[in-house]
Amino acid sequence: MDYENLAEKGTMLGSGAVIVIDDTNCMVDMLKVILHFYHHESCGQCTPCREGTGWLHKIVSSIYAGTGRLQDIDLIEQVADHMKGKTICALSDAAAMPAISFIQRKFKK
Amino acid sequence: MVEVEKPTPKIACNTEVQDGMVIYNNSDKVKEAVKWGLDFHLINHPLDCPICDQAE
Repeated sequence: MDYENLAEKGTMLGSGAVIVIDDTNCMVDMLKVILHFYHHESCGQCTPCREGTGWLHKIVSSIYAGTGRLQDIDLIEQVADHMKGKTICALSDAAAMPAISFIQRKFKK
Repeated sequence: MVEVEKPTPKIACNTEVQDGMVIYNNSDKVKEAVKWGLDFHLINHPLDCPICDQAE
């Protein structure tokens, strides 16, 4: 489990921190917590990150609360796609990647 | 947003210009990125340009 191996599989080691969860954890809740964190941490300089992290958090919160819509699945993917690579630092990429991975693995196998 | 002769568009605000660089500022990818930039802006921003105080 090193940088090269994980990069080949399309993921990243990042800072090397690993959070281990079991299958009793709700994945939507996990994504909501991650997005809330990134939205809070965003410095606000770049619009896609400042607004996109908040937008993604709002969509996933509504899904978690049971008021999500079918279009939200595509919307999350589109918003996250347009956050990546459009900012000065990589925080918006770091927020967008779990969202995209979640949608692709959970809904679009 | 501008598109340089590379796989993905680059942000203009943080990409240094270099000799021999070919830049496209009106391609389809650029237009889409600019449209989304505006979308992101307008989520939490009122659209009152004609009467905005900041427009002086």
